[in-house]
Amino acid sequence: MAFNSIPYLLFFLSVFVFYHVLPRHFRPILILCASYFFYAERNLAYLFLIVSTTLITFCIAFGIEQTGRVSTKKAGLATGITLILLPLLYFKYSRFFCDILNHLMRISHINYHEPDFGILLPVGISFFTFQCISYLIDVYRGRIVPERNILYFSLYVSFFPQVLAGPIARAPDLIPQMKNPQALTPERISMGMVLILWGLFKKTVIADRLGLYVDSVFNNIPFHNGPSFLMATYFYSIQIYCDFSGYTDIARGCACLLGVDLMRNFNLPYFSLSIREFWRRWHISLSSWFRDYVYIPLGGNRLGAKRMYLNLLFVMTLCGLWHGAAWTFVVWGTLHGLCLCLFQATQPLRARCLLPWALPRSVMTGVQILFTFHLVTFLWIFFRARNIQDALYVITHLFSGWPHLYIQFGVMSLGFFGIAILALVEWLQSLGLLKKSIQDYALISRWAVYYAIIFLIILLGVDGGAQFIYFQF
Amino acid sequence: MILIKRTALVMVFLVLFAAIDLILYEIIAPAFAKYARDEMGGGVYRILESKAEVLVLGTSRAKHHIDPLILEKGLGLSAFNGGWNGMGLPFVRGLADLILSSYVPKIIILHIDPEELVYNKTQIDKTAYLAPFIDQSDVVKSLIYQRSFFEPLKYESRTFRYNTRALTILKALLIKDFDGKGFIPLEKTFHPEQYKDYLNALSKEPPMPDERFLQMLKAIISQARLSGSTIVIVTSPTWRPNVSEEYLMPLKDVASEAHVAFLAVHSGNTPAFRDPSYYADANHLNRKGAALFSEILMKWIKNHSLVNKNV
Repeated sequence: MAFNSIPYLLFFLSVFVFYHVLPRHFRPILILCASYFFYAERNLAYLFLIVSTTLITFCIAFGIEQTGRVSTKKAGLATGITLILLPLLYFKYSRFFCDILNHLMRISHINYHEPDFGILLPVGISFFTFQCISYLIDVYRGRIVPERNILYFSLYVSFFPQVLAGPIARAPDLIPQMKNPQALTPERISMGMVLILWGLFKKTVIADRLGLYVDSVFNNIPFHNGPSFLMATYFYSIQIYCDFSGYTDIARGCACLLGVDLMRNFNLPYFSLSIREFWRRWHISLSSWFRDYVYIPLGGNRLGAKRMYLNLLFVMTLCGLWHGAAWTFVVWGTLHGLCLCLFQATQPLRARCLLPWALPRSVMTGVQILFTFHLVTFLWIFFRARNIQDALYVITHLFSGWPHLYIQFGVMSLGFFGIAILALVEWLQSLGLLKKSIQDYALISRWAVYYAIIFLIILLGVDGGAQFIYFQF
Repeated sequence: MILIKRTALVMVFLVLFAAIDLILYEIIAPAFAKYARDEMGGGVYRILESKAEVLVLGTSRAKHHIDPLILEKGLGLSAFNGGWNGMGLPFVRGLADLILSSYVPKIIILHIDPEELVYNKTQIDKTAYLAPFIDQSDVVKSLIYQRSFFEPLKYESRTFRYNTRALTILKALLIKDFDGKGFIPLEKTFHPEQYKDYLNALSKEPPMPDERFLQMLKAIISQARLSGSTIVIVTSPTWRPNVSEEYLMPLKDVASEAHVAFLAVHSGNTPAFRDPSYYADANHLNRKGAALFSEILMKWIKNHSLVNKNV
């Protein structure tokens, strides 16, 4: 039941109506049932996984809180994290590590029978696993008191708008909202509606449309050349942003209509002035998770420059591996780590070099935005390619075969049209020319916006489009 | 009071939605009918406008393999190639219904391959290309509704019939030079060694026809007959080594059961097609191959006096 499908629309409308009709104390039960139904609808067996992860985390958090001894707390935390991580390691990484083992055995001329993996990755496992780990660590650090009510804790783990692909919520932020959701006001209805519609627009009109071109190039690498690779890479950069931020907007919109505010996961990332800023604006819930639970505990930037670079590289490689069990993701993450290190290391030098030029601020900003966008876009090649060989082929052939561009008239023209709308809206947002809330506009303007988006989706959206990219993570 | 106000607001929103939907439909539908002539569905108008006496239907293999000019010259009848890239039997079923309810060609050449008789959900999904004609044909409607349980709900919006077609109209205004008589010859040269892995992986077993798809084929045949058109089934050569008399059995069976004339040309019965210079790739003939195949087809129709035979 994808967010961009009629079944989800009907499912959500039913939950929404029942939620606001039911007495308050029944509402959490309804949301939990709806969440489990939503999750189990993909595969009933995986319901066991999310329920068991919830129960394990719930019980161990209590154990950590109850015990007074630090060593026991530590042991409890280690046990908890291990138990929570085991399913993720098994479902997501076992094949990857076995492939590595297999390769090593082969080059060592050792006979080894590779096990047959018929494993399907449970959707959202990376997301709810990280939520549970952060909860345990926060309890261990004494930042939060373990939740006493299993119902609210279960909702924290499995809340359906965000269970499949985030945002990765934090317990102190989400659990209180589960207990005391906001009342449904006209402001919330407007905000929720516009988020859902804008998310659907980004997904169906832009991401899915561009995806048609990107897939036809990246899935048939030998048949294409430089101009097509370049076009597909730019398109992918926009596609992944619209796909993931579209999903997040829909998730936030649905949660908003149920009285819950989920965190903003994207903040105009392609307007970043540097790669460091990019990671503060892209998938914010994940990057802040890695910052708080990996980077800072490793010493962050407190233990000298060398250690900081090592930490950055390690965290970004791990971030790459989190996205997928493949070398392409590992390389993608490591390259981002390297870029972050380079950015840090060259900061004083760049300032010295640019000082004599005394370029106007707006020009500098434009150059920095363009540079960062192109750097990020270039690195997406590793993220999208099916394997490292394909990625290298694309990179080494970026400037070959000019000017023969593979043209898909319909896809490209509709894609450019969608991108133009997106760019306009985000540019106005970045300049602060759009009002903070849609409710600040007059009713006629609001409704005009709703209808415009709805009919753009109906007329230009890809019917029966692709799955959200981040569902595979 | 608040509940009544909110319910009223929702009702107004829905009524306005329906009104805008209808207004947009009234603007787009005539524009689409007037200008759109490409493969996003508008090509149907080109076929209907051609009123061709000999009409070719089928997939990209029909589109690239049969030259209507050769048929016209040899048979002395007007011809049009209504082949459609990437479209299988369900689409052809809908298209045939739209055509036959508008005019009756003297002869319909249905180009089909045995694989097209195998159930393929994607081919069902592709019937959405005929969405602008959903209200004109119950067959088209039932085919589109097979895509998913929620399809009827989507088509409650009249504008949705023109999903992704807004730019088709624009394209038609900008590019008026459409291919003549629907035939698009391929100019590429075929290098068999490039397709080695693909060709080696092909199964020699004849495809297992799906009953639903078989029924679609039979429905096309019977509707054409009832309308007074002669229908023939043809299949053109491929470079694939797995295509043999045995491989073509499912098609032969349907043709013989329905008493339809059937022409299968392959490298086994026509040695000329063992020459790679007739191909653009492993599945398609190039311009030279298309000319040869069209010639064979024209002579076969002529020799068997199939025009107006209504077999």
